Amino acid sequence: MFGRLTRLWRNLVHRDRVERELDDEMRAIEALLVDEHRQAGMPAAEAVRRARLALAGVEPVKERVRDVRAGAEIETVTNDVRYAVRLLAANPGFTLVAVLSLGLGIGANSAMFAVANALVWRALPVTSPEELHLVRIDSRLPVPQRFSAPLVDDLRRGLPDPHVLAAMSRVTRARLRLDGGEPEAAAVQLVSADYFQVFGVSASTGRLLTPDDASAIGAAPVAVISHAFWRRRLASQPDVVGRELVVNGVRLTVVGVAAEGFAGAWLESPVDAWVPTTMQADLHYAQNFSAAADAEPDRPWTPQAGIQWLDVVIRTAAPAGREAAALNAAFRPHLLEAATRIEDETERRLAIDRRLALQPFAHGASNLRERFRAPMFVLMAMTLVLLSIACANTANLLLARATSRQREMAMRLSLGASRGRVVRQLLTESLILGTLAAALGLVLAPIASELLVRMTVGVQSGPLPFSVAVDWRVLVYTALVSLATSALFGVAPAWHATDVALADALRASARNIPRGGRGRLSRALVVLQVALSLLLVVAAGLFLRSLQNLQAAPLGLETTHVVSASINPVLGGYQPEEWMPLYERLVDAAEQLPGVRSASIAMCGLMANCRSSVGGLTISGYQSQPGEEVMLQENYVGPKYFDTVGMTLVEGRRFTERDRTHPESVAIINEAAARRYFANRSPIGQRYGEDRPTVEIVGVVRDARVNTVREAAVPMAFYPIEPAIVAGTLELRTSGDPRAVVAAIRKTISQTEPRLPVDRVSILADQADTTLRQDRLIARLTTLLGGMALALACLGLYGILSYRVRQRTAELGIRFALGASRPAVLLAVVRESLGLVLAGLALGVPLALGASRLASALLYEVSPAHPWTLASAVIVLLTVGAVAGAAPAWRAAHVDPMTALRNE
Amino acid sequence: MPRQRATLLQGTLDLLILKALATEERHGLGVSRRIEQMTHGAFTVQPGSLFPALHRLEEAGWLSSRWDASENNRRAKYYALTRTGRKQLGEETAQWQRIALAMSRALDA
Repeated sequence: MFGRLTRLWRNLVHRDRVERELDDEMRAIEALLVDEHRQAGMPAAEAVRRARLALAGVEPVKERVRDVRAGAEIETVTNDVRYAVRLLAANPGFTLVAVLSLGLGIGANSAMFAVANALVWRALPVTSPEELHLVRIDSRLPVPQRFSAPLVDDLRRGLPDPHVLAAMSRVTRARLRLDGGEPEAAAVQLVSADYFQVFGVSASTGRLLTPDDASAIGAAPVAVISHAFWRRRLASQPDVVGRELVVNGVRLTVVGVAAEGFAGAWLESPVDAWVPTTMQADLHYAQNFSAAADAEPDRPWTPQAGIQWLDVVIRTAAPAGREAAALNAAFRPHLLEAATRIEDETERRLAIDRRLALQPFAHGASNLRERFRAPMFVLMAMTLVLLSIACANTANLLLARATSRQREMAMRLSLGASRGRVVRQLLTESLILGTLAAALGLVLAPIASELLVRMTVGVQSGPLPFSVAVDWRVLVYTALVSLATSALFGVAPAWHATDVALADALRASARNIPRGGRGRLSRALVVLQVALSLLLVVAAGLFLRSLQNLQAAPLGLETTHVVSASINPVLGGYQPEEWMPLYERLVDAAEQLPGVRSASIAMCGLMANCRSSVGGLTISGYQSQPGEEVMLQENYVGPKYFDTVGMTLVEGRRFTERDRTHPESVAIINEAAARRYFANRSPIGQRYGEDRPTVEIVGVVRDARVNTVREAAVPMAFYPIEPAIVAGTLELRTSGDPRAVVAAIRKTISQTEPRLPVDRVSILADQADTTLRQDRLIARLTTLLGGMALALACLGLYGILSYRVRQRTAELGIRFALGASRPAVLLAVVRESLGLVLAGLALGVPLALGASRLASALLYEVSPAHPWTLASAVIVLLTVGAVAGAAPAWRAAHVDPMTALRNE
Repeated sequence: MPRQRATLLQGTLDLLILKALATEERHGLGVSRRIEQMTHGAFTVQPGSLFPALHRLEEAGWLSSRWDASENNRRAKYYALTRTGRKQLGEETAQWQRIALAMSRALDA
């Protein structure tokens, strides 16, 4: 063993000495042989000749000796690498193009993978995340997936081990004050006392929540903060326990810091502070809930069975085991009890037909994941296509080089190198290119993936909601992709390069070796590039058109002259009886502003992710189907609301002053509601209500998209604002520049109502635009990918055409000498270019048609087989073909016959 | 490069080299000549096989080498058996004889 190591050392480190010795040995043997022959009486020259013949070439013998030496493998590899690096350095242009195009391709892939990894594959940083499950209600009807606090308690009591069940609210944006500083936004979540135990998260400082913290309503004003928040806002101070946080006006005491890395179960909403659910009323938490008719949302929620607002998480290794059975046993009485209040037989049976099911929760929850999954896979597929194009491009460059190196290959093969050995050398070059590209890709990937997440979530600066760091999965993926890439672009050229008829190659000049195979392969690669580019260009075209359609979609609102300010009277500490006067003061103050034509107030803002719906309605004269959810989205609006936001009244009347005294009794519905519930009759004067039809419809307004640009108008009802409603928005109609009003209204409110928090002030058009973030992102990215694909295809075409022109210089020279016209030659080259493009299009059009069908769910009012998009893409590629062919054609047309022939 | 004669089995060359060096140290050409002589010309070892084998056996620690003057005063690299090489020769000889015996019995049967 030791001896072998010293030899390895000698062979690798003192290579020169070993080589010299081998050389000496062979020389000595030759001399000995010569001596032998001379002694046999041979003439000197003949003796030398015989000796050399007997050795059959000193170099091959030496080569074989080298092969058996210790470390021969290592030496071969280092030699290959050294040689490859030298070659790549000698062709900086080629190396740069190859590494850049592959690096961009690999970087794009790794970035997409990093995002997908963070979004879809990375589990929560807790112990045994695979044991976590979300409790869901399985039902034939869509039902709200939320639980009331008393139901959660019953479920917990029914379990064999009650300490495996935790409940949590949604993550809410709260107003936080630290040390009497300026108020700032913080993400707060209400959780049950055993939340941390169930998730398996420990405290890094202080303690976590205990059952005492949930003993009574409002009894425990405590908070556990996240490690990230501790570091970001409290500079990781060790004496953090006992500090005071003022959240939504309530003083909370920090009792501990959760383990590093844990920020709750919502991927894109990292939690800053967790507070016991019993603090719900104190913190004015009121979102994502459904309330029964007899519920009182203004009173604390924890004792009320009629208010459903909690998500339930359970830790169990067997999701179909006895925990699930126990949960259902505890759930059943609640269902039966609720069913007794339903009169209709069918409805009752449907209401009982519900079960609790456990859904894996190892990855936590994420709206972004659900929304972005499809676009993400489309984008991943597109980056892979781009990488394939870059591959084909590099393969073509290598092929071109292989031809110019054919004499070198022939030389090496005839000097005794085996074909495998030479192929290995060439593959080493490919692998080095691939590695360089992977390195570039890994530099680009974190930048690109962070940018991608920022664009998706809409966070320009500050910390990312979740990390997209390059972890081992991304590294492995990148390594695999670059390996596969290197193999793809390297093998065929290497094989072709070594497929030489030795004598021919050595005899011929490098320029005119007749090699049909190579030409065919490289033309096929260009055709493939064109086809794949068409795919990406068509995709880009479709997504752009889809975005255009969305941007041009009629919203049914006045978007450019409406300014919305989101307000929160509850957080400002206004008591319910102060709300109506506040609304009036705000509207008055707003209407005083120059450039404001009218102002109004509403519960829900437009395009603001505020959606309140009421279901189980009885509508006079409307017979619902069994199981049909008769529901309306609702909004409470101030006077002049419809004129302010630009909704047109089409039938009936607006709200009047008189309606304010009986606010619950009148409603204005939209056309969608009229169409659905009053198909062949006028809704004016009709009544509806939750139990009895008490609300009279007095008007119908034109449909408007109030939730997102994409979502068509849903059946909707508007009511006059009333004293118990919290207005979330102040809407202003401007006559002049809305931007001036944006600044002015914030200033006015802070002067007249300093207590009132104003969150966001924006022009409605801009706000509507934010709901198109994802569509814009996809359109931009696909355009970028399409552009890169076109550039690569252009490069590929240019490469092969200039190569062909160079190859045919002599032929062209003869043709010119024989009187061929320059335009004819020029046309011939351009025709060849267009021929390749046409072949690519013939392959690409069916490909694009098939592939775009897969993305049709992401498109808005664009058929995947949109003829104009396809036609434009075809024209773009033909143009690229003409452009790529232009320079080589020009060169071909200006070949000087004399020079060309002299070169021969 | 033409291959060794088909009759030269895998591993046979190593044994022949070890045997050729059993009596005295020799240079590469000497080993080749000695093998021819021992086998009455049945095996001619080509340099392309001999030298890789010599280097391999040396790296395995069975041969040692040194530079010395040859019979007609040329410098040459001389190979000699090491202690492990001699042991290896004994083992391989025994092994070979067992095989040869078994083979001849089998063929006579």
